[in-house]
Amino acid sequence: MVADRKLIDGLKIGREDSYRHLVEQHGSRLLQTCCLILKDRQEAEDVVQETFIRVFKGIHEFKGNSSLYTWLYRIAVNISRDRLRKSEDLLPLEEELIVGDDLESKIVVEIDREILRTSLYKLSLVYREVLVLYYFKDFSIKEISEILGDSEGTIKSRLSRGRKLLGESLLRGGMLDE
Amino acid sequence: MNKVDKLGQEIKNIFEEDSEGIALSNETINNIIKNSKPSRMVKFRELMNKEIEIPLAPAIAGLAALLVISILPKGVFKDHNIQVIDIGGSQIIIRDDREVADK
Repeated sequence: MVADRKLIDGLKIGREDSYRHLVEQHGSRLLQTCCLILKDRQEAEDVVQETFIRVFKGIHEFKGNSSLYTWLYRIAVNISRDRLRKSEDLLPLEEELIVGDDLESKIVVEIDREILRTSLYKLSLVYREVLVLYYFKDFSIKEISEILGDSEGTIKSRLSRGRKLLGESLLRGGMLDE
Repeated sequence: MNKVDKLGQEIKNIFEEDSEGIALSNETINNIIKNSKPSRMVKFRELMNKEIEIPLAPAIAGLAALLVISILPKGVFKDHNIQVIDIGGSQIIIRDDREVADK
């Protein structure tokens, strides 16, 4: 937290070493996350560049309600969503759904990784972004809700729904029915 | 939500595999830094918004000294060297300075 404070102070007065520190510390992992969400390396690189530029230019507006790290991902996810909005159906019907672990364990007996991979990238952005942030970035439900600006209940629901869709897709040999 | 069940572990493994070797190049990092440098206006605004901390005790002491200097009449601490010589019923007063009354 103290290190974060120092870094934020450095960013606010425009210190180049603070800029560089933030980019070098989080840039590559952010790029990987954006790649998984956007499924496009070039697009992801553009998003990362835009994210850092927005962070540096808007650092004076950073209130510190969340961590700098969460704020960085929030900006990146918002830019990614804007870019995908034109090309992808962003918001499928949202339903509050809690899937029991028993049901999932029955579905996922044997996992074909290639089918799972194909299904993961076929999933709608709303499910994929939650899965990436949860499983790849190891963010907690609370942190994901801060990043995406949705309630924790909605995040849990999307996570369950995403997993259920993947489970069903595995049973159908990769057919995804959202 | 279980992160370590079979499905969760497989999802994590796929994401890790697919993102392996993806890193930000030095060129991109330099590009970001170059495009993010704050303008002079931002730097000036930052300077104007800077908080200055003044320790209270020395500030009060300084202010009091300033007040004393400006309020007290001029020459109040002057050391008047006066000699009085008694001659019979008269006195002769000898001063170092000659004082001229203000008009």
